[in-house]
This record gives sequence, structure tokens and C-alpha cells, in this order.
Amino acid sequence: MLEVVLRRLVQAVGVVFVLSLVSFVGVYKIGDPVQLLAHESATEQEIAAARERLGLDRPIHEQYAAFVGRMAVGDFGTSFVSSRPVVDVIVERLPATIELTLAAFLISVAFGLPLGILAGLYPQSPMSNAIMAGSILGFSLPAFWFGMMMIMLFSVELGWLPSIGRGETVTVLGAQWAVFSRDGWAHLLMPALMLSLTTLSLVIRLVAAGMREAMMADYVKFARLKGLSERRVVLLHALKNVMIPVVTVLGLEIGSLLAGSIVTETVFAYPGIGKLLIDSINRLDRPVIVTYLILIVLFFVVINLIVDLIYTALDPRVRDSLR
Amino acid sequence: MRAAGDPDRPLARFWREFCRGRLAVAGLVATVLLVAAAVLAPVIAPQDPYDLAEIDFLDGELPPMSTGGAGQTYWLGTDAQGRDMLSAILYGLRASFAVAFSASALALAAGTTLGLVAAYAGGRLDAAIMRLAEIQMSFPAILLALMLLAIFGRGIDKTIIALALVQWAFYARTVRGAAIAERTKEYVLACRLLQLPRWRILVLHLLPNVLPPLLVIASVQLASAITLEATLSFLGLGLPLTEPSLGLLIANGFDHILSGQGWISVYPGLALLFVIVSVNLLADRLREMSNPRLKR
Amino acid sequence: MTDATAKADEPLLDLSDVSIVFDTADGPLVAVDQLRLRLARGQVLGLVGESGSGKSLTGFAIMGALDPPGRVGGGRILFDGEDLTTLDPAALRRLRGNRMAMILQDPMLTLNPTLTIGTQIIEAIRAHRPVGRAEARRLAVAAMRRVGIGDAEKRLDSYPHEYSGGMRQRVSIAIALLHAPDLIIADEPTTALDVTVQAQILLEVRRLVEEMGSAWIWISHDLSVVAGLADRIAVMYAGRIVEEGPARTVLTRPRHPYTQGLLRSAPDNPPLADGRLWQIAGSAPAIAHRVSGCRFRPRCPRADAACAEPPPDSGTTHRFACWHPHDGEAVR
Repeated sequence: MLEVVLRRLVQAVGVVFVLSLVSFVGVYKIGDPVQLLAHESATEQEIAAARERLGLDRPIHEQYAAFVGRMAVGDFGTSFVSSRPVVDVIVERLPATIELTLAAFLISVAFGLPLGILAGLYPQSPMSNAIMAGSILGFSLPAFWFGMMMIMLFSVELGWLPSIGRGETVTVLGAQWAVFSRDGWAHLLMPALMLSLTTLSLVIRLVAAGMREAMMADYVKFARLKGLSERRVVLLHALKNVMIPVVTVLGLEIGSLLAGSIVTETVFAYPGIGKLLIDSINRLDRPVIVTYLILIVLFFVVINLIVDLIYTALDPRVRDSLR
Repeated sequence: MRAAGDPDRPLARFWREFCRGRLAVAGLVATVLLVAAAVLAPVIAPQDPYDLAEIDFLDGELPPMSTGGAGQTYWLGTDAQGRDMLSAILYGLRASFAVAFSASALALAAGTTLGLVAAYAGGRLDAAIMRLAEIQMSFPAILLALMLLAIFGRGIDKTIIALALVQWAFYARTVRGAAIAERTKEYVLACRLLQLPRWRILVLHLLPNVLPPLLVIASVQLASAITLEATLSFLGLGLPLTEPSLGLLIANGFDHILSGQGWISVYPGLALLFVIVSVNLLADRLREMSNPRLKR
Repeated sequence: MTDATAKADEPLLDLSDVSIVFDTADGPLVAVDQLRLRLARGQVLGLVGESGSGKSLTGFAIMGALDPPGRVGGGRILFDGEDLTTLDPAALRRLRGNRMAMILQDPMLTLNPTLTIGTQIIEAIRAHRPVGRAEARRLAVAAMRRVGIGDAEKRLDSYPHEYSGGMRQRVSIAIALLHAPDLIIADEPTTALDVTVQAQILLEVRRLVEEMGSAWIWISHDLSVVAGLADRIAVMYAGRIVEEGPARTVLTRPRHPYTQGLLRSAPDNPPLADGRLWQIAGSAPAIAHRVSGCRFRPRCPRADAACAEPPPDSGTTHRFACWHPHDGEAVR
């Protein structure tokens, strides 16, 4: 068991290193931020000075070495655009993305599980057909367009919900949180719905397919033959088997939600790290881009590791094969 | 199971089986019509939306069913430049399909080749290819494509390459898995006894056997490529402004939503949705047919 | 074994004209029909047939546990005088696992892989008896001991994958026996096991049958397995019972050509002149390809034009449905 964890950890470190190198080299090959940032009137000398100040005049391997060295002590550099430490810029926008991702995750689970169970239990019923059609639609709907249509309907036509930003925030534990204000919730609702769309559809389909299969399994038949209540047969015997792969996928979906938040935040001008990334790409703010990419790679590796461990803990067969 | 003396050829059987899903047939018909519309866009579109000579700036932001200055009807309205939205959508469809089909074809070719190479070579090369595929698949496609395009910059060719780079692994894994499973079967052993070269066994005998799963993946990935391209273009990272796909049309309409000219992004969005639903219905049926556990 | 015919004034189980239907997109498919079967208390019935003959479906139908789209299409299933086909689901659930139990074929698939053996036994106890956890656990240990599982106390917390196939089938049998049911339906419970384990389990079951006095329906494709266990034997072909009677009579003086064929194709028969074993020509038809009249006629050496009409049910204690039955001389 420990050996597996250690091996996965070593692999993870390798992946982070390779991808950080790739993203660093990649990002540093694109464009010239100084050209983009400098005034029209800037002289050659001024540009050269700026370049030297930002360390852009040195060869790329030196830049990378310096970058890794600084990163090791928690210094991710300074944003070219705002001239503030990258860490500060990202940390300040993190709560918004955490709220958004978590809200979308909860929506997906809270609606996806019951809908999936229903659709899987009565596969021939009209209700099941409606749920499955809805999930196909959810998969097919381009999320960004869905978000825009929500804005059109609920903000422009009906005027019920705000279309932009995060609303009023409250400082808790030194960070700005919107979920403690009513205005914050109003701002969160549409983005969270848009972000949950794909994950919700996926959960419905996975649970429905798993349920359909489990209900035909011998162990479910036998549970019924024992005279157990239908409730116990479905919610314990069938669902426990269905949930093992679903939990794994749900864990990985947290990563997909984080990636999806880039698009969601752009549609709703929602000030999280996803919007920050797109803004930084458009302004060639390299330190922010690279830091974002490295952090997200790190996040993914950790998520994958945790999901593996949870899967191992859930399935007694896998658990024993590692002992 | 095949009854003795069944005269059916596999293709006819496949077709009959496919047609049992009525929705899937609708999806197939719609997909064929949409592809035809995209291919024939220059012929059937009321105007060439990118020929400035054909566009009347004074007809800008007209709602659907309006009559233009020259007496023509704009069925789906016009955008801010006076471009006929119906024509723009048909051309957008063309761009979206072109990118998605090219990317899927490229991914299919690259993935299949790498999968066969991995199965054929084994050892370290196999491990390296599969490890790469695994890493790629552990990240969401949109994130990887976005990273790649942030590095490459905008452009049709770059978008196609980026999409192919985030999709090859699905093919590679399937082909390798199937090739290794097939390797132990009798006909491969027979080929080996006949001393046919290994690559010939792989290409001529293995490939036809892995085609069904590849078809399923390709149909799923085609739908996903269309969505990805649209999303990337919406973010301003995909296609250039000079060759607008449906995603870019929607993005252009975004600013107009708040001022009440919703049609500029509603109709391209509906078109995009229609495309993706059609392809997904098709893909769903193919997947259903290839899953023996759901066949009852 | 008990002399069943003597005290069969009111049968425990009485199936009359039962049919089992599958609702499909192309209309209903009749899998089993015209099913007549009687079982006295404490009697053991061997239900024999090839796969697809409807013998397992019959078992599930009696238990009221047919999976949709399958359902009982008609007829009555009287259990202790009560018609199970008209019983509401809650009442049926109270009977299942309590007064009637079923053991399935493949022990590797029967137990839930994500729950401990203990959980799966204890829930079956508590489903029908209002006992506390500790008492249920004590009963579970006793149940496992009864089927010959040593070290039961400790093994209660294991998962199914830690058990061998034979051990798992012992657990299913233990679960079926928990509430000393009046009727136990065993659906080929030894087929999926190793030959040596098969023998052990069979021995165990024979002991339990005598000990508990339950009535059994032992479903099998193999006449020889049933031969040593059953008081009566019913032979099914393509959804119908073709012959039914006292075990000895059916085994030694079969009247229906299909039963005769089954007996002649058993591997302990002397081989034919060319060294091969005798076998019935052709194979059992799929539901959609069944013929009218006698369903066995395409494979039957005795078939003629008369067999296109449904054969009459002849005999009383030894019934058979055939136009040209064998005359009942001993086959061996």
C-alpha cells in the first residue's frame, strides 16, 4: 500500500516537473510582453531597461533556473501587468473560483444522483427517457452559449439575476467570500448552473447506466430473494456498487470543473483565477500564466492521487489486492 | 450469434441494427444534411458574408425577417456589420466542420499509428507512448487545448493541431489494447506461421478488427472537437477573426445580448447545438451497439 | 425420504396453467406456458431441462421475482393455499426468504462484493425476525456452522472475495435456510463449482433436506444430479413440462421421447458401435423459433404428421405430453 503511494508520488513529481518545464518554455516563446506593455512612445533604451529589469534578456535556461529557484522559496515572480507578486494576484482571486467550483460540484451531485437512480431503475418509463434526453442535451449544449442564453433570459429579459461579477463579499479568515451575502448568491447561481451542466449530465448517465446494470446483477436478485425491502435492495446493494466508479469519476470531475471555470468566468466576467488566466494570456502576462499552469498541474496530480486512494479504500477487492 | 446459412453481409447487418434506434437515424440524417449545407455554403447562402461588396453596412443589426435596403429578406437578421446571419451561419458551419473533421482525422491517424507502434514495439517505447497518453488523458481537453493555443497563437492550422493533440490518446489506447488482445488470436498465429511480416499482420489483419471501436471513438470525438473549437474560438484563442466559426459568431453576438439584439448569438448557438446533438445521437447509438452488455 | 403421495391431501405448492411472458418491442414473447406442477410438503422435486427451457424462470416466477420485462402472464400459483399472483408486493416480500427461499447458480455472483458476509446474513435475519444486532450476529454464526463453515465468528467480517466458490455457495445455502422455509428453490447450485466441491455440497444439501423437512425444487440440466435427491422429477422442454412423475419411474421407464433421449445421452451409458455417445439430434430452439404442436417434434425420432397438433396430457401420477409415447419398458 505504502509502496503504491510512494510510487505514485514519485510519478507525480515527475509529471509536475516536465509539465512546468514545457509550459515555461512554451509560454516564454510566445510574443514579447515588453512590446505589448510599453507605451507607443517608449525609446529603445527604455525597452531594453525594462527587459533587463524583468530578466528577459538572459538565455531561457537561465531564466528557467532562476524561476525554479525562486519558486522553491515560494516566490512566483511579479505580474508584468499589475507589478504585484503573482502569488498575491492569484490568492486574492482563489476564493471566487473555489466557491464557483464547489457550488457546481454540489449541484451536480445533489441533482445527478437521484435523477440517475430514477432513470436507471425504470429504464423504459417516459420519465427515464426524459431524464436521459435531458442529459444528452446537457452534454451537447455548448456551456458558454448556455450561459449566454441564461444571461439573455434571466438578466436582460426578466431582470431577475445580475449578469456580471461576484457581488457583495464578506471578509472571513482574511479572504473575500461571496456566499455569505444574498447578493453573492444571486451572482453565483447562473455561473454555477452553467459550470455544472456537463458534470451533472455525466453523473446522471453514469449512475443510470450503473444502476441499470446493477439491477440485473445476481447479487441484487439474491438480495430481493432474501425478502429485503426494495429500498434496501436499491439504496444499499445496488447503489454501493454503482458508487465505486462514480466516486472516482466525481473526484476527477473536480479537475474538469476547475478547467471549465475558465470559460464560465469569462462569460460572467466573474473575477476568479480562470478569468485571470484568459486576461493574462491576452496581455502576455507570463509569470501569471506559468504560475497558473503549474498550480493547476499540481492540483490535478494531487486530485488524481487522492481519487486513486479513495477508490482503493472503497472497493474491498482492490483494497486486498494491495495488501 | 449467426444462424446457419444467414446470407447477410456484416455491413447490411450493421445497418439494420443501427436503424433500430430511431433517434440515431434522425441524427444521421441531420448530420448528413448539415455537412451538405456546410459544403454547399457558397452555393446556397444568400450572400458571401465575407465579401465586403455584398454587405450593406446600413442593414446592420436588423432583427430576423427584416427586409434589407436592396429588398432582400434577412431571415435570421443581420449582425452589426450588416452581414446576413443565415449566410454567416452557413459559412460558420463550414469552418466548424472543416476544423473538427480535420482535427479528428489527424487524431485518428496519429493515435492509430502510435497505438500500433506501441503494440508492435512493446518495451520502453510502448511504456513511453502509453505514459504520455495517460498524462494527456488525466487533464481535461479544454485545459490542454487552451494551454497549447496560448503557446501557438490563433489560427486554423494551430487549432487543428491543438485539437488533434488532445484527442490522439483515446485512439492510441484503444488500438493498442485491441492489437494486443488480437495478437493472441488464431488468425494472427496463422499469419505468423505463414511468415508474413509483422507490420503486414498489424495493418492488414488487426486494423479491420479494431475499426468498430475506433468508429465509436471518432464519432464521440468529432462532437467534442466541434464543441472544443467553438469554446476556444469564443475565448478568443481558436480561429482567427477572418474565418469565423459558429463559436466566433456567438462570441461576436455576446456584446449585443445586453442591448437586446439576442438573435446575433441565439441563431449561431442553435445551429451549433443542432450539430452537436445530431452527432451525439449518432455516437450514442454506435456506442450502444458496440456494448454487448446493453444488447438484450 | 417421505412417501409424498400418501399425505398430499393439500399440496404446498400448486401451479395451474402458469405462463411467463416477456414484453418486448415486437410484442409479448411467451417463454413458459401451460405449466402444471404440484409439490407436497417435504417433497423434493427435480426440475430438469436444457438451458432456455424455462426452468429457472419458473423458479423466479414462484418467488415473485421475475425481472421486467418478464412477468407471469396467467394462471395461478397457490402457495399453502394462497395465490401468489394476486398477492401485493409487501406480502410477497414477507414470504420471500422467510417461508420460501431460493439459491442461485453462480456463487461468485450471488453475494454482494461490497458488503461483508456478516452484513449479508444479518440483514436477511432481521428482514423477517425482530432481533437486535447482537442476537442476529449469534444467529448468523449458528447458520454458518450449520452449513459446515468453521471459524464462523471471525469469517463473518470477511468480504465475499475472501471466500472460495464452495464456501460462498455454503453461505447462500445458509442464508436460504435461515428461517427454515417451507419451500427452497435451488437453481443449479452446484453447476458452477469444481467437481470435488460439487460432491461435498450435494452431500451437505442431502443431509439438510432430511434434517429440515422443507420442500425443495432442485433445478438442474442434469438428470443424474437430480436422480439421487428427488422424490419426483419434472422434465421441461421449450417452455413446457413434457413429462412429470415419481423419480424412479421417470428415470427407469420414461414415456416421452425427450426424457428417453436425455437418459440415453448421459455419459455413463455404453458408447455406440462407432465409439461415440448417443445424442439428441439438433439443439433446443430459441423462444422465437418454437414450432406449433409438440415443440420437440423437429428433433424427435418418433415424430409424424400427428405431432403438429398439441399433444394430450396423459396419465395421472405419471404425466407425459406425447402422441407417440414409449410403452414404458425399463431403459436400463
